[in-house]
Amino acid sequence: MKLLTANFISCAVKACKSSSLSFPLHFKDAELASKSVPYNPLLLSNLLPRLDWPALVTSSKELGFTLPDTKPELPRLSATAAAAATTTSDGDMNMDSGVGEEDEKTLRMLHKVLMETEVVEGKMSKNNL
Amino acid sequence: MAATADSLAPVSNLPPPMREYLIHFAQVHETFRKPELESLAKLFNIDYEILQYSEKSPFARIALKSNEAAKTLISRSILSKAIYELWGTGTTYDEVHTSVKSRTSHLWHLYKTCSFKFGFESFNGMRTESYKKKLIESFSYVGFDGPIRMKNPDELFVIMEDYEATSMVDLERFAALNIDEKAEAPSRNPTHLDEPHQIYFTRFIGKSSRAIIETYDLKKRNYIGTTSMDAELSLVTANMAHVGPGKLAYDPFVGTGSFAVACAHFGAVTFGSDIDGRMIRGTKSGKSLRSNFEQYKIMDRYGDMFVSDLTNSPLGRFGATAEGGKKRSEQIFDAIICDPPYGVREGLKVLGSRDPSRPKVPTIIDGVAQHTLKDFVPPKRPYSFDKMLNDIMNFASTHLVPNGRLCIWLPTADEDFNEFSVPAHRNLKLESICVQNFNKWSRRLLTYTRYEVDQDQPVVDEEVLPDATEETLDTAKARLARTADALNPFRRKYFEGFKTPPSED
Repeated sequence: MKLLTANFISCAVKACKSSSLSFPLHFKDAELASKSVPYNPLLLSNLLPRLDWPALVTSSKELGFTLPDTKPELPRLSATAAAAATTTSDGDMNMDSGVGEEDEKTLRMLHKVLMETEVVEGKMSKNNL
Repeated sequence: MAATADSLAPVSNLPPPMREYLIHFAQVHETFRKPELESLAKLFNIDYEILQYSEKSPFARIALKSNEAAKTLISRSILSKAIYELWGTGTTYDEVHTSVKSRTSHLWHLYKTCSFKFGFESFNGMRTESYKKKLIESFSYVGFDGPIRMKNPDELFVIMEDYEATSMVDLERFAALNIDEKAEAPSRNPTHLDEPHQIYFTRFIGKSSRAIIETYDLKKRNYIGTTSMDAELSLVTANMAHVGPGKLAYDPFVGTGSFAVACAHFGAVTFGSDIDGRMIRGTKSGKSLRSNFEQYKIMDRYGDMFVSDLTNSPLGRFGATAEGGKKRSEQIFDAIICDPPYGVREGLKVLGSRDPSRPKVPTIIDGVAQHTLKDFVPPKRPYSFDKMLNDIMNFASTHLVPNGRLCIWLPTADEDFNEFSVPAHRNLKLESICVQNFNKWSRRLLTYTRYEVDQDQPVVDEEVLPDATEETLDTAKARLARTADALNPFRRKYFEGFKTPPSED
């Protein structure tokens, strides 16, 4: 499971729906795998507003990644460019994201955490005890 | 204002920036063709006007602002073959020549020295090779002096003929004629053939994505199931759903991943879930949904696949509130596309106990709680088709981003057509309905767009399904006591062979 997915899901047990512990779920005994995926700034720019940042910081920390405490503000890349961008089977998306060096660094880190890292074995639980 | 040097004089009276093009469609899935085109125009933000369209013909005339727009519009289309600049049209060749001369004579010099090729397309009709040649030569007044190249010419000009549908007798006559031709019979006058009712002379602009149907052909796919949607309609569905690079797509009934693969092809990172984990875990020989992504080299767009059903979905941020006490947003996906189970091959089921009054006690065998085992098969209970639709609509309303799209396939017995009620939700705007007909039943592809903001007014329509509410134990029990057939009118009709019930006297 990707950290991206972990940021979208809660405990599915009906009785837990109202519990504030049901999100985010915490990884336990997680075994990580990573693989290289083409860098896609457009995807990251679309994802950013949909992420629950505090939850992502928490899950990332559990798996040994450090993200800034506050969500980076990035200019939204255009949707028209998205529709027109070609889909290649490999190679990074060639597109000017128009962000500064510092933000670019954060984006690269996010790419690594969200898209390149996968929990291949492990458990998820409602509390991190 | 006079036409600029490289623009065509319009066939019809179009406002100045608009130019006329001809789309060559495939003569299949006719009710899907226009919605697909309209969906792509919206996706690419292209102004267009359809000038002539018929489901009986593969040729359609459309006005667009530029060749660039034409190329972009057609680039992702599955149900069309290509788009052409329309140089002239008429019901006879004399008319076509007049039309071409009056509209394009100022353009001919542009193609004087380039390599070129003339093509010929007929729909519902036939010409002998020698007559085709004659027809092509009748355009020699355009004065192209460049080399003729059959492979990769700089420019491709195509003559297209559209014939009224012909009778079997005619078809047999054509066939007979073709055989004569092969035997090199003395030249005959082919004008005794029915003449086309419309002729077009065109210049090729851009190709569609139709060729990728072959790439994703189920016959060549590593892992498929009994209900895998074919490549063509999966790709069309992805077009209807506006999936694309940088977007997230989700199929809640992912099965072997036909839609997931199609969405990923167009660049979306794709998620999927299924109540049946076998599809996701795959077979012992290593065939799985994931291996399909590997086969097509689209692993970078593989999101995650998990075992779940829609009534017990983990997708969402339950019970959690962000700073300020506001509910956290659950708007995640740009597109949700699905072909929900019809309950014919497998009964409709969701996770849960058949008897909701039974206390939930974990089954323990040899000291191991069975539900913690990896291959645990959770209990399932019957589920009604209508309730499922309701759940899908509600899920889409909460999980789609503003302007995100929902595509859903639904079966109908044809005799029920009048009763067929289109599922509605106040936050989802119906975009189009496409129909695929089978013998005695059909299925429909419904496409919706999520409104930017929540709508206050519930849809006022008596056909609309009641809002999904948490059921009381008693009504749940009463419902569960019903059979799979009672819960699913489509399944019942399917097994009755779609017979009309005897009329009551």
